[in-house]
Amino acid sequence: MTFSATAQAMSSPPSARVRMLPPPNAMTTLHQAPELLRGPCNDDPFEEQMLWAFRHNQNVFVSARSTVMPASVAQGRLAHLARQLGTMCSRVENDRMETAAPSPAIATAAAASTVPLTQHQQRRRLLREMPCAKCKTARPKVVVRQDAFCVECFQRNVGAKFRTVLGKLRTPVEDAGGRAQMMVAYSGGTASRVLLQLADEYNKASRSQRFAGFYLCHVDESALAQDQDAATAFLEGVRRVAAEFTFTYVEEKLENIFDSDDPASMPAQKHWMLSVMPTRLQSSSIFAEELRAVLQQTTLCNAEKLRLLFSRIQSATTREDILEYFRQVLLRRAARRHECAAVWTADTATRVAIRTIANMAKGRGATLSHETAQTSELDEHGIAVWRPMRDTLDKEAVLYVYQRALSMPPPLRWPHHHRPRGKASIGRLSQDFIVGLERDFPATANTVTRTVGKLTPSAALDPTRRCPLCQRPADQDAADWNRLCTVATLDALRAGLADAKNSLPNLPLTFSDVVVTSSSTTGDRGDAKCGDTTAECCGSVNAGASTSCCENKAIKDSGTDDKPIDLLPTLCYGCFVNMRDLPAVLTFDPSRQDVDVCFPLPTFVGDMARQRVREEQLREHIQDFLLDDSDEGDANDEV
Amino acid sequence: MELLFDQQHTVKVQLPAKEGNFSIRELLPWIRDKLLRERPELFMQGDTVRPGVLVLINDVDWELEGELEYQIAEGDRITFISTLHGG
Repeated sequence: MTFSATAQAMSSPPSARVRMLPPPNAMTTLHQAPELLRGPCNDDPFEEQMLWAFRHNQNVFVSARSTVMPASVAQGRLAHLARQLGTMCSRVENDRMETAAPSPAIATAAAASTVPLTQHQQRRRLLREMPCAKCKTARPKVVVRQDAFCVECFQRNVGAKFRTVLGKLRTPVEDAGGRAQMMVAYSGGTASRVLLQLADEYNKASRSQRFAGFYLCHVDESALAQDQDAATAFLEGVRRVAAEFTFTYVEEKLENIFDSDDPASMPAQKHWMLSVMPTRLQSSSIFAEELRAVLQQTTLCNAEKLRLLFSRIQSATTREDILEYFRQVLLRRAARRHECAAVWTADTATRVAIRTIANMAKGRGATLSHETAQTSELDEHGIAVWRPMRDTLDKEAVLYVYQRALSMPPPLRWPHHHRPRGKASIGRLSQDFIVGLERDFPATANTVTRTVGKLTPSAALDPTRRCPLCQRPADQDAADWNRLCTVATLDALRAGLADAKNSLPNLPLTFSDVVVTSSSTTGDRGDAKCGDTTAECCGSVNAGASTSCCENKAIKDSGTDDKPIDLLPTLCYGCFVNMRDLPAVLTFDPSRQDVDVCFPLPTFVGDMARQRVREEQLREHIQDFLLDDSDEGDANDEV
Repeated sequence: MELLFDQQHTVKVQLPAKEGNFSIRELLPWIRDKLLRERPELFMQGDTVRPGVLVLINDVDWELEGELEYQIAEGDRITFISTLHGG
């Protein structure tokens, strides 16, 4: 559902001309996803011709300004270009272009080529003999998209793109006339190393001192590394790099995601896992031995919790997703602590293009603009994510680091990165797709980035209703959608448990590993007369005629109690799918005669979900007192 | 990239004697067979490097040097850099 909506959104702006043309052998892909790959090309006769030429294996050529033309026109242009080049080169000094006359290579390219070459190959042959596309004098050393640059122009170009994006971005602090603090996220990789360098140069160069200060934040993931020595060396390397800059260095340990945002309000939980109401849960979760053993432990350190969670996630896609969300939560948390207005991430054009494809495949199309734009929407604390390298390619970042010999930490292999093949996850598959296309169609990443840049968040997406897990705005009807597409529920299991706990071995295989815990938390829960019905009438949003006793109690308690949360309706579609791959433990709560499902997730998920449920209940509670405006959406906004 | 080559950053190689010059096309399989320690699919695809791997010949983009057809001369420095994440 989400996918088709997004595909329409991508093709709807009339100016969006998708030029991501597949190679001839990828025509099947073209037919499979026509709206994505072809775009609205009917208005452009050149593109029509281009597609025709591809279908009939004709030679085609893309010029420097990415104008598409058929082979016959291209050959004429090439011959003209070769003549011009010959006269121009004779005037250039010897360190630059040695060629004084059109070389045989140009002549070959200009003449009707008998061997069919791809458009990009033809272009590259020509580039060899041309001077730098920018200064028109020096010998080129780098090919970026369809143009060749000398080293100086290339590096200047990378900096200029960065400054252009930054120039368009503003913080609310600046709008109010102040100067904001910024936080640069540095992972230790190449792109973020370039970001760091450019941020430093920008800071030194801007006379007006646009920003009040910079922090440098590294999320330390060494708790997940297999080789602890290598991880330590890597972290040392990161610190060495950070020490080269005047920015204040902040280190966030990934395992600290399990700490609560606000330690004072941390609820006294019976165990550290997140209890979830099992309604509408899909059933492919695993119930691992280790989880059962550690369920009762409250002394588990954060790193052990993290390893437990990640070692048990079933798919690489979910593992990458969860890691990414944790990282972002930590970065935002650090930004909030240090009062930074924005977090800068090194999302390059290549990364953004890959994420676009991957997120659509994952059913996360609804939040595409949030995740790919130059700046994300502000979160509830007013912090934005900026992507100043959104117009820079991965290739440019890597070459920039190489040419300037920027310091890098030693290479490190993360276990979660180490997969046998490219098909290990949706993200990896999308990377292969984009990078593979880039070889022959070097404008692919920029084209996808430009196209997705035209998207704006859907009006149906309420930015205040966030998914507790990924912190992105969640589609409002995700819960209904989840209900429709759910194939298995735990109702049978709950009925079985209520009848007789002894019948556990006879339950379906998936649920055989049920843990029966004898938790003694009735005291914490307080009023026992409500105990049995609380989950029934207050957990469910649809319960219309609930007594005020229960409802008030739920509103009052849901912030502090550790009773199960009705988590699933609050999740976005993408996270709902991911939940199937998370490890879970079933627990039986004798006081309520009910089954809980526990996920080893950090407390921020639970806190946010409780808050969401509380808000929904409040909304329903005061619904009748609201003035009846034009529609329900307006009424909700007033809340 | 270093991880594929046994953590080595720079390797000096003496190419086997042969009539005429070595081209990159011939060099790549030679590197794969002689120097690569693991997972050749992350280095090569077909007869060329995997998409996402940059090749520099004496610090010049190989796209400007004829790619696979470049004839290697004495003392040339050929650099492979991966742009891929998690490779």
